[in-house]
Amino acid sequence: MSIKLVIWDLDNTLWQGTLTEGGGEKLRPGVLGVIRELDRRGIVQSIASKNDFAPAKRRLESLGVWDYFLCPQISWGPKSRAVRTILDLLNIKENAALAADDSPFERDEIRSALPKLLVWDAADPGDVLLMPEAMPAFITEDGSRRRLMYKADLMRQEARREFSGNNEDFLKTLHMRLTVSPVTEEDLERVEELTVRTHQLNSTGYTYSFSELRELMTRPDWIFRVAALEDDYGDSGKVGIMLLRRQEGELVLKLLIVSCRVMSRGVGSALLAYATILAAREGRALLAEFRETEYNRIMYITYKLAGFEEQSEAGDKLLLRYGEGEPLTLPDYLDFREA
Amino acid sequence: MDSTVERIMKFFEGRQGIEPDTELFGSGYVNSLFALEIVLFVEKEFKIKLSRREITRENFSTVRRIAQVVESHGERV
Repeated sequence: MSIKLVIWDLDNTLWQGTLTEGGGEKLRPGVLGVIRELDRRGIVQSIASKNDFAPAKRRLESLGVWDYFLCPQISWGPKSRAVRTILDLLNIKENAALAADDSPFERDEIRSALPKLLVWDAADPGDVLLMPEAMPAFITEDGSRRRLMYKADLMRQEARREFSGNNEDFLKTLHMRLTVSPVTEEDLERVEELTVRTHQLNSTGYTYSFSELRELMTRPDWIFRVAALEDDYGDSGKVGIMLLRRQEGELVLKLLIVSCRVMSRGVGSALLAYATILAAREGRALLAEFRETEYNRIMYITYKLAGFEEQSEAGDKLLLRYGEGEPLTLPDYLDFREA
Repeated sequence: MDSTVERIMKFFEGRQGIEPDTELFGSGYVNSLFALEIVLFVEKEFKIKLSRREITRENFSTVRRIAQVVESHGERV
């Protein structure tokens, strides 16, 4: 499993010494390079530290690194609680995160509450860059902008908390524009990255290699689309993939993936509605393959409540059929465009 | 103690015109995003995990129907 997030302790992990004892004047050797490189790789970073918030923030600012960290949790509560808060805010699963902490006690405390989370002593900060889990196959454009996209998302969450109406009314205030277009060669790295990184909103859990994807792009019997999302808070980049195959009188949705980052913004529903429209245009029945994984139950629920019924089951593969006569209506909380 | 129906109705607070017997899917009240939210709300509110078989449009067609599913789920445990 590749990691999406590194959570740093401060005293004697990120910086030298203990802030409350006059330390913390310098980052530990090598740490700055690691922070910058993780950021470049699209691995976001946060902080879980037992300190007072204001002085720790001031110190991180004067060290020039404050902006690298998303939703830092700096307080005297248990570390595991801080870590869990960060995972919830960023919607990242515990097995896709690494906590760096010099204290064996804190590492144990985190591990006992979150057994699937990776913990690391950060004795040699550069080691993290060599971990296979921290090496994405490609560094995509979306990857290096990822921190800013997560920041925009934290702002959306804040706005959602302050908004008193229902969820669809809130979504309308974002002015989302979802553009679906045929996959191009330049998209393939991001597409592969999405298949590897996305678990909760992945209909089959299949991953495709770069060369397989490139081959599928050229096949006339396959429909291969990417979806890009932007709204008033910023550009989220490529957030969804749809892979469909024409088979006799049917159109089979082989793969539907939506980035977890935009899960709460209704993109999955919109893409599913679009698939029903594509099938109706071609006069074909719409089927969808689903393979249950540890995380993708939400995808199953989405299919079923959109009007798909189980048709057959072969091994671990389930075939669902869209049973309604009419295609689904595109949701009115976003502006859908076909490019 | 609230009845099951009342507890589910809490989800629809702030939405006009939804009664326990309102058809949720036919009425245009429910798109699939909303439907997903209802399932997740019900599972959290009643601390249950619905099986694949229980997750159908029919079972989520009205608030009263959802309540029946929740109650029958409780009996089996």
